[in-house]
Amino acid sequence: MKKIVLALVFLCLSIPRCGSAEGSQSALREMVSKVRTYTLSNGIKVVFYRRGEAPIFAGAVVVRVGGSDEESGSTGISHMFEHMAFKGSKTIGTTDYGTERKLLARLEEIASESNAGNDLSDDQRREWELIHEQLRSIWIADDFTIRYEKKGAVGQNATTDKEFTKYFVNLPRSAFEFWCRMESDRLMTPIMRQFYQERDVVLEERRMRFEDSPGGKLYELLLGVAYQRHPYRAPVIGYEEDIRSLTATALKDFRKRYYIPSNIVISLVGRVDPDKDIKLVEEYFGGLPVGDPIHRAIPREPEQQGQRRINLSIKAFPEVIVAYRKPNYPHPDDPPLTVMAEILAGGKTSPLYKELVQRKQVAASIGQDEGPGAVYPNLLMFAGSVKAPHDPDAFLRAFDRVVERFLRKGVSKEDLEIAQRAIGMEYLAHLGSNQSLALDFATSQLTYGTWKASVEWYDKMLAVSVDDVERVARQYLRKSQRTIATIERSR
Amino acid sequence: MRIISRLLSFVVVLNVMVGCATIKNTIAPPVMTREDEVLNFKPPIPERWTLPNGLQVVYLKDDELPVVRGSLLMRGGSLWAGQYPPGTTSAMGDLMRGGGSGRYSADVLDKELEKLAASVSSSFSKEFGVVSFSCLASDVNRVFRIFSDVVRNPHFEEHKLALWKGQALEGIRRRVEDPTSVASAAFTELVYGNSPYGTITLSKDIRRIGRAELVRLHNHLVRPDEALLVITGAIEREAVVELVENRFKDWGARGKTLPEAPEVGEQAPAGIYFIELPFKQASVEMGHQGVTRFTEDYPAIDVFNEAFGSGGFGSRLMQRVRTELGLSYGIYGAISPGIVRGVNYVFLQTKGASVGPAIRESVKVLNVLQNQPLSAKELLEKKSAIEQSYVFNFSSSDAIAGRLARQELLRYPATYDETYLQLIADVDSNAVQSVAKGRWRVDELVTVVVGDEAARASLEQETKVEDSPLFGSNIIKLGFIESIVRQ
Repeated sequence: MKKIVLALVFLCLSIPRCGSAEGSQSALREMVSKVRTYTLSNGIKVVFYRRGEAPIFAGAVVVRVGGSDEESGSTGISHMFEHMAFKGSKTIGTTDYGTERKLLARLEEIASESNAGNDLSDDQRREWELIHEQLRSIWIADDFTIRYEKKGAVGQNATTDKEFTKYFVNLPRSAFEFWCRMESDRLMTPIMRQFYQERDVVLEERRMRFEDSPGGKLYELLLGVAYQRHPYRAPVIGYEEDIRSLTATALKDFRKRYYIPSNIVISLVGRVDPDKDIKLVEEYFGGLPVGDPIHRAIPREPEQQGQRRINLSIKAFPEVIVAYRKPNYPHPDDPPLTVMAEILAGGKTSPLYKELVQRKQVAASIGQDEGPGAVYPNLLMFAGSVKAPHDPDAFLRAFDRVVERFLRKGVSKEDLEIAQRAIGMEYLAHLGSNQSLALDFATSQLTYGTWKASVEWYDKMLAVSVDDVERVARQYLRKSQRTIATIERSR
Repeated sequence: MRIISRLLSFVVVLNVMVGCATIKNTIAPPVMTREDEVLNFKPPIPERWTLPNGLQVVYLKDDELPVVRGSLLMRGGSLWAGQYPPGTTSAMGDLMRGGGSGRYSADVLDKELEKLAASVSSSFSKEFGVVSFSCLASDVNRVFRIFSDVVRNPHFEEHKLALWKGQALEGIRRRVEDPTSVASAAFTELVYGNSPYGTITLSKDIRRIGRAELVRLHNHLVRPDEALLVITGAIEREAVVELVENRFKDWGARGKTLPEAPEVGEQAPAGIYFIELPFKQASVEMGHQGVTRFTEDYPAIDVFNEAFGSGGFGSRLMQRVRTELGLSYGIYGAISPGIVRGVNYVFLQTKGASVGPAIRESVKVLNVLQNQPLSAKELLEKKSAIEQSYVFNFSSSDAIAGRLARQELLRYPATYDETYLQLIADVDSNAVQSVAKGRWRVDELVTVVVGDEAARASLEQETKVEDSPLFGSNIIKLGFIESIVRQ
């Protein structure tokens, strides 16, 4: 728990003129001392952090399942399930579950005989539409979310990434038990109603995010080339044909496998009362069956044998992504790599920005990030928009010159400290939001077995030396270990 | 490992409800009337004082994190810059921070702020300007000095203006790649006509912007009268008083205050305006000129919006077009009051082949609200959503102080805080129906559709469907280069 205090003390002490460090320390010490963790009778971990005066809290339920758990042919199933988790339960979203259950079962029979409802015969289509007509008279559209809205929910949402599915919402404190009931219902008795309409909605989402977005398309292409075997290569939203082949039955099996206590963390931040609230959490969530242990057989990505490059020739303006392979935390090289990336492209005084955007003006923008996941070896990515009249090759030549100079000259102590402070301020800003903290605690707990992992990471980041940065730069900024994806405008 | 993702343009995470993000125009209610822990919450009250030059200061202490934040909010924007090339207000706003200020050149300023891990930013829009800072409490004296220089003494360095222009031109060039930008630009031009509200900045405008214009516009718009300085965080009142006195006390008022906002232009005739671009998904923006802020039915407008299209999944547009029909991922709509005439709008995206039915269903949702009052149950749900989420206006010191400043700037009625919740409680279904009937004019709808051949075919088909609101409509084809091209 004291890690966060140490991190911020370091942040202050490492820079001169930090007179108010004492006040900062006491505020942070108080904050961290309020985190409480519990384990429910079925094994679900719960993290509480009481803060703030306003009678509000953020609730997060995070499940350790995402794109990297998906098998070939069923990409997108985690995300599809996330959509379906807003459709209600046996008691929410329906006026007659008994009748509905029979009708939904019949729909699944037809789906199994018609290529997931994609190749309906005339008879099947008639029956399909008749069943839907009956269901519409039973369903209460969006009952689940409307109940939340009535209670004053703000930011009700969910996301799916390579490793996690996260459900989160901000509510008035008075709705705490309501939240327990809704979220436990979602975990324990979700009903796959309106599945085939929602599948169309997801296809619309795919069109918006990928098919009509040059940046989205390029990123999908990059991952498909940078990874040859590892599931990071597939898009989280899924390939179109895979989405079309999903059925409600497949989603039920998926839930049974992954939505189990050992794979879930609950996190609550804001005006909570841990000792009292945990009883309610146990009452509502303690009944989720333990399930079978999850065995993940993730294929290992083979060594990269040289630079890879892929070009997308479409009617779009040029873009470039340069992605270097890197390990992921808790590998000791992870913190220095983040600092190195911040030095190289973190701000307006970084060498890549100054050279590509300001001096040569071959780029309109440049940025850096790490991805696509948080668990397996991932990529350090530099991405930029090429500025007219230049082309991606001009961008890349300038990029390589900067990287070569960076490797040759190394970094100064000042560069290092600026980068560390920038990352530290980013972290401070992140601490200000109940929701961000709730999600951070839960994903840290699921990935590393402790909610404090990101805090510990920051300690390590702040301990990074000039030598560390220069060493990882030499080790990882190698052309043979990178993938380049570009858009060149087609005629 | 990185907590905050940096490459915002690339999609790493999928979000089930993105696309239903809505414009909530109302800055929600204050007064609490019920016996309830949430509704009886008494938020801290910011301190306020005014300098002789008119600058109002709003301060709220918050010690949780060792950080201080501040924002200067100024009334005035491109609506008052009609004599300058379009884009000048944007350039001026961006380059107050980006073009050097006070004793620092732009590059040295960048370096200085990075050393301090502090941020200072500036921007101007149509109606307002904002200059903000954020820093560790220990650095506030240095950062506040930089902040005040950004406000008062910007250099607008020529080479930074040239860089800004290059980036702006690149942004304009790329507009055509984003269907929502195309739809939005065309819709704005058509709805607001030839007026500063409808102006879209073009490449030729950017090329005309010079440093002299930025200096003149800065003198015109950046002024203490009607400005509010909001400061929150780990800082004592005395320190705030001293900082503000030192850096803003001698900031002279500019004489006459800004005049009232200009009138809007004439809206284009109702119709379907089609821009053919090769997107698989059609983007639709549909609506007409709206109302000014705080008309007498503003509480009923807020309840209407919640029911119609700004209330997330519970809104009728979402329920019908997305949940029941599976036609769209993102759809929302609202009456969005403005300084003179706001806009009533519906936005949706759907595959080209279903754009006709999606528009038809959206208009039908509006028709139903015009013809049938909300049920007692639905009315209660919508009012409850507004009332119960009220407390989130006070979720942090920034939220509390910022809200107060925005209310001042948007000229909220003096009794707003005391009356809002009661006014919401008093809204009945007849009032909501009156809003639907009185504030929407279906026969004036301008419908912009950006899409491919399939979208065009779907629209053409729709004009032949007898019970469709598009029945018999003409499809007016427009081109798009940087903005709409009438054909």
